Amino acid sequence: MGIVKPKISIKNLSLALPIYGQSTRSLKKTVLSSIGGKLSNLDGVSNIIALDKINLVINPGDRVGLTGHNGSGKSTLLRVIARIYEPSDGSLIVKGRVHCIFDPSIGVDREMSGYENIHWLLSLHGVSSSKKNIEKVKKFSELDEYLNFPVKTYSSGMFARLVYSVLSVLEFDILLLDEGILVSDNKFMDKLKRTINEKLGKEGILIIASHSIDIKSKFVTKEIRLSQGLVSSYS
Amino acid sequence: MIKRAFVGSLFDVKRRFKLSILGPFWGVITLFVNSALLTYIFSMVFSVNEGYFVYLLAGLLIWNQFSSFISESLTCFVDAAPVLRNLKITPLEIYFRYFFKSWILFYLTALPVSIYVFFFEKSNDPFAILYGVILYLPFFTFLGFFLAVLGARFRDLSPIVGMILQVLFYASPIIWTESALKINTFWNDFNILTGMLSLIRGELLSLNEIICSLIFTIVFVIFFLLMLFRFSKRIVLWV
Repeated sequence: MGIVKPKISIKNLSLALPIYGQSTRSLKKTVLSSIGGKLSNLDGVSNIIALDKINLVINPGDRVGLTGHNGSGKSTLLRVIARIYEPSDGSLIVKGRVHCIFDPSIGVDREMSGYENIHWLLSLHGVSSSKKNIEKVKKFSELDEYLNFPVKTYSSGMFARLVYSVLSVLEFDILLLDEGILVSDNKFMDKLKRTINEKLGKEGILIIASHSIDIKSKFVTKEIRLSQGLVSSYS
Repeated sequence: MIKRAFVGSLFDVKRRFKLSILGPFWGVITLFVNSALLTYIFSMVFSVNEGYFVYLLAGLLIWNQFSSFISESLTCFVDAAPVLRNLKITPLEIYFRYFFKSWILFYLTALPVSIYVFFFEKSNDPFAILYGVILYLPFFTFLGFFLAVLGARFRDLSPIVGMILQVLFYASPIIWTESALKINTFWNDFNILTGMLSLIRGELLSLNEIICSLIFTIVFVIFFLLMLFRFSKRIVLWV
């Protein structure tokens, strides 16, 4: 755990995603009004208001599940907190070291072996790909000899083990996950939960975007529900 | 950031040649075969000098790198869209990963060419290919990022640049020699490729070529800084 207590404060935060080469009118025809963010037209460019004046405070120790229908803004909010998207308006204060895994397939090359991918994934997460770290990931994943084979030969569960095992050597105060974790088996999910909790400690923050009741019951103590880019409930 | 970009570029190079027996040597073989065939054809059509094969070899080596670097710069961020949208990674890092990969691939071809020239051809400076290009790397660094940002926002740029590159190929001393020019054109003096080709062919740069390289580099430094500070955070929304 870092010296700073992890905390996320979001005030009046909005994010407009521009859509070039498409008029608002033609977009309205294709996007159902109940799904996705609202549409607007700023400076002649069509925009989807993916997040609309969000106000949230996530305190140290919170384990939060983001829920909502498709296109409600769950993944976008995670990306804003991870500072992948810059908010169009409002303020965001994130205290603590943030790590995120949104799409497990990103950064993985299916032609390369498990070992080669671990080497690269560690580097991608800013961690040394030392022998010690690679061994730790290997032990955690329990993939053993399979790590010598190309990742294309892995099942989806093995693939998830490879990607999420990297978390065993990362240091973070805030962890942001999208629901890719779903494909791993119960045994691995329990092991991962224990490791994540150990690493986060009492004050770390976990945010998972998921529809799965199973994931929510395993990882989450609070729930934020989003609808059309707005927080509809926080319980 | 630079270290991670470099490690990523090595991963990309390794990935590119995975399952290939000859790997990067395919680039060398293709270059030699093309140069030999074109030398043979041109020797039947025009009168070419004894050292034309090496002249063409060096010209095509630089041209291949120049054109592929520019074309791929334009799609650098578009190709990396899933990474940009899912990882906490800056566009500058994505760009440098592509930049390093491109120049590692170039040197994997340029090194065997230099060794060949050293052992089998008469040349003022057989290793000019290797270090001549280094002098132009700052220019390419700034130009590439400028094009990458523009290419992410304006998708019509790729075919336009493709057309310009086609003209530039014939307007630069790649297959024809500067001595064959009947008049000394303004264009030839201020074509950055002319200076680059002269340098790697072991010739000294003229004053015009040095001025031209400096002007181009300064112009693209300004564009690079403008793109970096003005648009860097918007790129993820464009791709």
